[in-house]
Amino acid sequence: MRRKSNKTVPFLWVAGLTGLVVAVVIAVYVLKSFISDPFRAVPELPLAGYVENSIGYRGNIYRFTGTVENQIGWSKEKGRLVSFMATLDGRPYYVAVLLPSELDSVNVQKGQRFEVKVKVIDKGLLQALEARKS
Amino acid sequence: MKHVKAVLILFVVFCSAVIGFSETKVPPAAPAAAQPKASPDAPEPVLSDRSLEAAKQMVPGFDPRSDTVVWNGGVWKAENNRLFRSQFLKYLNEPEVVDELSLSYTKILSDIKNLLSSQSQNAADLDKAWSKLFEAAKFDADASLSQDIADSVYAVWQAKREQQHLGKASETIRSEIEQISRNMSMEVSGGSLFDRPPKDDKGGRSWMENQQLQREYKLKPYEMRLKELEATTAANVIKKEASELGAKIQFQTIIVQMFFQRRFEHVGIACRFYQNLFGDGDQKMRVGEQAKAMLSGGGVDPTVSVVSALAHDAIKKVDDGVKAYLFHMENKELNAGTERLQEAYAIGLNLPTIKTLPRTQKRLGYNYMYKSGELFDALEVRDYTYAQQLVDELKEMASDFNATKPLAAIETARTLSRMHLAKAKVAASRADDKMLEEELKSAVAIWPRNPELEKLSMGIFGQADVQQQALIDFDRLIAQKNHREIFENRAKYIAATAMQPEKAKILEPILVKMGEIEVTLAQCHKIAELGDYKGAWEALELLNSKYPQDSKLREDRLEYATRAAGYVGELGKAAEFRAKGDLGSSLSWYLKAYAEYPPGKIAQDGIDSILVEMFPTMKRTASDSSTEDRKKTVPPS
Repeated sequence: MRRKSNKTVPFLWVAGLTGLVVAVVIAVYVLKSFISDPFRAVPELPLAGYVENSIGYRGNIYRFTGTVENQIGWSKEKGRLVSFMATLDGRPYYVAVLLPSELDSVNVQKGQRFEVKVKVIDKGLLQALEARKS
Repeated sequence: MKHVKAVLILFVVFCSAVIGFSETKVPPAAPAAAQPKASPDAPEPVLSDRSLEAAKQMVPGFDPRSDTVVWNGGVWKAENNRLFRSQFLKYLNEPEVVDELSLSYTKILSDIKNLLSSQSQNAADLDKAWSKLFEAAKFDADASLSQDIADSVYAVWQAKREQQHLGKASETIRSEIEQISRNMSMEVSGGSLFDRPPKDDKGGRSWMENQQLQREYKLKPYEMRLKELEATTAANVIKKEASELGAKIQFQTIIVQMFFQRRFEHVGIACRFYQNLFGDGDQKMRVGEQAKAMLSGGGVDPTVSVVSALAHDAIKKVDDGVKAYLFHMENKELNAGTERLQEAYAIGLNLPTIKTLPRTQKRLGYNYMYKSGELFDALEVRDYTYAQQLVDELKEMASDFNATKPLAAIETARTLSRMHLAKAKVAASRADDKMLEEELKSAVAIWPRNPELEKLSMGIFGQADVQQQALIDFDRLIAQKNHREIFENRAKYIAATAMQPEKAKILEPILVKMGEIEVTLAQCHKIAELGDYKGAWEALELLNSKYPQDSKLREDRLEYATRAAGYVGELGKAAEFRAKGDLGSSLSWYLKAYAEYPPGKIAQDGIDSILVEMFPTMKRTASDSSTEDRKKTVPPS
């Protein structure tokens, strides 16, 4: 009887130890990806405020997630002007973002969702600093 | 009348030919000996039969059926020329030129012609005629043309003097050549009588060779001098020919220029000088291709004699034209008379016959011309009442006035206008405002000041004071800019303003504008019936910016604005931020409006304008909605 109970204890120990190791690995991975995210410290674009007073936000850097609506214009030197639709509290907001020629490598198509790091430039327009599909 | 206009056109063509004349090329000169020399006893006839035939062909032919002029193979359209007409009317109203100065000038020109044409003409006459040219040049009427002729004559004399010098030089050279030839023959035949060749063959050959060398050595300077003299002689011959040719071309240039300036008296004088100065029979005109084409006829090259004959012919034509005018006037044939005088004036406005025609003789022609011009204008502005009055007066004045065409125009207008007025009456009796408006418009378009139109409007409104009241109301509504009310009662105001052209001019654009508004309103109502209130509102919004005064337009626009409140509000905000310079916010609202209603022109234009302002070099990417979709949805404003 005593032998039987001695066999069970090491198995529980091994299973518990393995679970603990897996949990630690997952935790480390999540923490690492959170720390290495470049948008981590960037605040969310206050859409409701922006559409009412864009020039009040000049010089600030934000991020937002939106769906590509249209490409409004294109210039070799300036880049692409793209309209995005983002939602906040269930309401749609439309913003135009200038994707400079440095971001020409990013393919932008209607309907794609993007996470964009933007800077509010002169006259309240948004200029993308980074963009990635979300 | 048209005949004269045609002649004027021909002179415009003449002027263009002068340009061609300035490009005259000097053909290679033929040797002087080859040219026929004119006999001083038997002077060359002024014009040969062939040249006369050619000259006749140069007279322009007018075809009254097609109002065209045939000139030297070309056909020219004789259009109404107001400039010439006004000049001719001015001439008819001017007093005749009979002052002492003009008479003196005419006498000097006549003296010059007599001196040059006298049978017993000699060098003294030529000199005298030449000196009189300077007297003639002092008069303003001469425009220094006589001075030009005198200068050309002097240039010829100088050329001839140079030729004489060259001739004397050639004589001297010739005698020197003869002298050298004699010397050379002496040298060749000369030698000592005691010189004998040695007897033996070898010595004899050597002696002969020595003699030959000595002869060649002695003749060499003579030969060289001979060559020099021959070269100088050849150069002198060329110089002589070139000098004469240059003088001829200069003279011919003056002649042709004066011909194109219609100074035919001076052309005659210059030609006589030319024929006196160049008696070698070479009268060929050395002119450019265009001028040659103008002056030549029947394949004959133009000559000074042809030009002279043309000038005399022109002077005679002018004299005949004035005589014909006076004859027609006596017989009350004013139409034919003024036509003949216009022809004469167009050709020879500088000739004494034209200038000295008494004003009293011209006055009748002036009245006829003035009234016929008035008739032309009355028909042009469709004032047929005045046109009828003028036709009656002209028929009374001139027995040969052809009233067929103006009467036909007047009668046609009357008939058509009556037809429309009859229809308008029917429409008025049926209270069919639309038909009444159309018929009144048509009647006014055909005959704006038709007295029957006034009668009809009286009939429509019952009495005259009603029409007067309509005009007062019209003025009031114009002052209030209440075009809507004018449009709603348009039949009344069309009729009321029919006899008031200045008010009709104000009414016409108002009706056009209101027509545009009405069409757009009707289209918008149809769009709204399909549930597209945004499209209906936008079309009216665009039209409202063009015509902000119309009350109905404003009302309908407001109605649709409430039905498309969200869209209107978004565009309003976009415009508001745009005005503040907040382009980021403005663009967001325009994008929102565009997403909501893609065919919307205002949103598209707003986005475009911001794009242009911020990125002038950026190309607009085509939107999702096609242009066709937008055209279908938004009616044209």
